[in-house]
Amino acid sequence: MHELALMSGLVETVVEQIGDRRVAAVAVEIGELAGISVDALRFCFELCANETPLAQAALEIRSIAGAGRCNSCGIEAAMPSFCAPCACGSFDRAITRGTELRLAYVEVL
Amino acid sequence: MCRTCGCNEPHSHEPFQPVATRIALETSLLAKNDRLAGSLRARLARDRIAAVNLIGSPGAGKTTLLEYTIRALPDAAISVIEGDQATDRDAQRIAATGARVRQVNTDAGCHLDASMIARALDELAPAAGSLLAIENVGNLVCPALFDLGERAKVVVLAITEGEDKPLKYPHVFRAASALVLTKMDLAPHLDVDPASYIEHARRINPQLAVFPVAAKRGDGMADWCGWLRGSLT
Repeated sequence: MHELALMSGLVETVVEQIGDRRVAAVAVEIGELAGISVDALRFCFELCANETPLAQAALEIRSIAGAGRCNSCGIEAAMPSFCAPCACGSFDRAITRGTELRLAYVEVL
Repeated sequence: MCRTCGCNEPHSHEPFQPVATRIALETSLLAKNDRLAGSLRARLARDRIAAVNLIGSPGAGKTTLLEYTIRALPDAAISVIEGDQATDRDAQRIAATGARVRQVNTDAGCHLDASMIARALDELAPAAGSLLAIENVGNLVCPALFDLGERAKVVVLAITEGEDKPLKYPHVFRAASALVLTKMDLAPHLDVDPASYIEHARRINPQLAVFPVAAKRGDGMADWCGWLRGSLT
């Protein structure tokens, strides 16, 4: 349940940055290859936001699709999982996108 | 009287709509841990201490691997940080080898983070030029995400766990530099093909160094210890 640690850190960071202004929304960007369960993230956000200025905030999650560049043929293409092979058959791909775990912005009232 | 503003004229009001202000924060959700891990890495480099983060399921053989590695590399002066939810049983086992050890209990926590390592390191005070082994909480999922300032992550997977584990738990295999495949002496008693474990792990991470070992019998330990010494010092 690393989502709990992430959401507890998120609430802490937001409160540090904006003080006790009430938060209407928090937007995060989560890569498809980041190893995060979005359902667990929402569940943990509610737990962590309770009794903080984020208690009523909506959690907006933008998913970022995975992509990788093949170390054999050089083609960059979609990579929905770590073991998704390149069209040329190689599994040796460097991830170029999809590991993001970003707090993008908050909307405060 | 108007109930909204309290004036004497009866009239209607637009419902109050607070305007939200958007504030860009643009920070990683792991920023706090990553910052702390970065300063740990600098501190370890300054003291010429090479740290390795051992990650594997409960019962994969992490502590046994460490016990035999410590005995095989006496001049590396290996010290150990043990992570478990509860008890100091692993620390006791490591202490029996003569190595310096600190136990970290995470209670509900499913992984070690950089702040726990910073505290343990203050107490442990490993010798300059030594190896520091961090045995993470038994878990193939969460520890993959948390940088502890280590030079390398190593996955410990027992041959008894099944050849599909790299495919089912890919993150940790992707994050690791090496895989130690333990309990190889049991392979003849199981209906398994050890090559398929390696093939699956390299499908996730083609650069992964792989060391099949039977720690108690000594098989493969020279190669593993050689890698540990060579790539970490």
